[in-house]
Amino acid sequence: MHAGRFLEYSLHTVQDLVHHKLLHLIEKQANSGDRIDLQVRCLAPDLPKVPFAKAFEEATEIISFRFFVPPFVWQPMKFFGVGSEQRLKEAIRVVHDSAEKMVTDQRIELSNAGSLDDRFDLLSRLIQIKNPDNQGEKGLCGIKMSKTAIEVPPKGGFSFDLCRRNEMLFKKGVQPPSYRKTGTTIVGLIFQDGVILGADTRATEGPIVCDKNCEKIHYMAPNIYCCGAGTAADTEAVTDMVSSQLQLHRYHTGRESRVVTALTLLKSHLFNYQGHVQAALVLGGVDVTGPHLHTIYPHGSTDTLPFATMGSGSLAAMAVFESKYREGLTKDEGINLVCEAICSGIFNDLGSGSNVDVCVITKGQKEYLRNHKLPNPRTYVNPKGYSFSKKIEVLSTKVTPLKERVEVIEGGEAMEE
Amino acid sequence: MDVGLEDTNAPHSMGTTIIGVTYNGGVVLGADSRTSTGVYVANRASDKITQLTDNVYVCRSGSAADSQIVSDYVRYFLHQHTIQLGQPATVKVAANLVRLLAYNNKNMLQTGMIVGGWDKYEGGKIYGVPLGGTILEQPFAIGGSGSSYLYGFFDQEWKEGMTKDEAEKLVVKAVSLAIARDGASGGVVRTVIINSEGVTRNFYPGDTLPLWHEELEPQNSLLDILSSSSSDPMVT
Repeated sequence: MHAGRFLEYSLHTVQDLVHHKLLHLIEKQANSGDRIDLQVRCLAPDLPKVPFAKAFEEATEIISFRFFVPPFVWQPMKFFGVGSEQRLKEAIRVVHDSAEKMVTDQRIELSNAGSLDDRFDLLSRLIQIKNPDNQGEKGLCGIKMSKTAIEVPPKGGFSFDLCRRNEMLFKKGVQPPSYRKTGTTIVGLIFQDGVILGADTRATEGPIVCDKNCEKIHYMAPNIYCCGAGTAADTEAVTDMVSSQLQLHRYHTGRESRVVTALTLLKSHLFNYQGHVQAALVLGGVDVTGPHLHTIYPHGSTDTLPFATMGSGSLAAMAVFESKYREGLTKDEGINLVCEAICSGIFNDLGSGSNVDVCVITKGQKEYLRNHKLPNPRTYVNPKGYSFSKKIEVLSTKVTPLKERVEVIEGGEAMEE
Repeated sequence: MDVGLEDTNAPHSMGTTIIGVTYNGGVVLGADSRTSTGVYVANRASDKITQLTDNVYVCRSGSAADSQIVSDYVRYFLHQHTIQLGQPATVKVAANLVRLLAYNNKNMLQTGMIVGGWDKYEGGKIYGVPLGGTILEQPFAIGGSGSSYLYGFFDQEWKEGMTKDEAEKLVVKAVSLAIARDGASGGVVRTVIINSEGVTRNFYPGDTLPLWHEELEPQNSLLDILSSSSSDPMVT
């Protein structure tokens, strides 16, 4: 029923627009020989000379100029009303005035004609529906006149339109900007008392090592840690997010977090984004049900294993695990095996390097061994060290402790409403 | 480095061989255990037979993520349904739920499943839900990339009214044949037997499976055979 009415309405609108406006415009254009821009929404024949549009464009240009110069250049200009900033002020004034005039005109038309049914633009529709509200309509006018279309997001779910656009651009040969990846070797294994996680510490941006000592073992809960491989931003963001969710869940339930909770939260988030969040994780922890180790892939699938490796160096590390892993390893044997596996990734994979981080989680206790092994020391260190040139002198030194000690006073005054 | 990265970022798929077979009194479900990302085996001992309820299990194939999520949703819906119904859900209901999810999201999912179980009304039943979301009740069903090699085998070997042991032997033989020929299937053979008495899970490691045409004995290491023969490794 509604589809029928909508169809009728659209047909009516299009007919009107074509007959009364488009045909006249094309006729005029044929006579005068001017070029017209059919992309602009307004079909009035005297379009090119509207001062409002000119002022709007000028304002946009001047504002973009602001981005090219540092703030200490355009801010004084704005303060003193000099140069381009003065023209900007003028342009903004013209824009505001035109907007107000348009709204007032429409309202006068409404009171004269009784209804604005034959005007199909958004402004008329809303003036009719809403109660007269100056502020709202001026703003609306501004929005309407702006070049960017307002897009109402579709109901529910993530919009993959930009992902498709990116894929299309990539096929055409447009190089995407290089982003920071953790090339990575990450491993985990279950030993007799709990779980040991290991990771290398190299972060790459294309062919360049951008961080020689980054942290890939992320905190999720006091008893759960997660190693992340893939895009560094994605792994950090997703582990931070789930860590906060776990904390809220702990407050809600009053219990220690379970590894399967973290697993389900991570897996459903990654599945919802269909692999576009490129985070491959090794999640390990010890909870009331015992030690657990899981791998989570970017598309949202998970595996539960006694030993696991992920990342570009996973093949090298898995080779070590497959030959040397056995059930019931002691803590030292486990740490040694993990170090060996990570080292094999560090030395045989270009995307992994630098140092080895290890994290041992047992019932009620965790040990985060940052830089447990440093197999890549800096060999040639200048013995003189670095000294600032003589011209630079220290003028003043101020030390501010980041954490202020808070004093708790017993028997202070009670808070009052 | 780049090739390795591309491989490990490929979607996790289960090459797979999955089988479901009815026998006189219940069903036997069987699957291999290989999960691959590109050409790398991400998990050589995965469990592709997932529990939906106490008496209904599902074999998953295709995209690992999609099939895991579908089985999670169906388990949740079935749990609610069981509470509302007040008695165990039937296999038909479970299979139908799988089918509804698979059909209504056919554009976004890439997973084929075999639902099998036992209930007191119909006994042992197998329902195949392949890509696209069809539902087909069958006396036996095969799925996954390795199933291509088993159509002829089942045409010849399948018979009505087998016993539990016959059915399980058939399933194990079939999966091991598929593993021998399909690169995307491998690892161990897992079986689940569901009947009126309950559920039995079995596990057959790769070295207990029979050897087929031109397959070699499994070796722990080539160094073992080297040391037994001459010291020159390049002797034919």
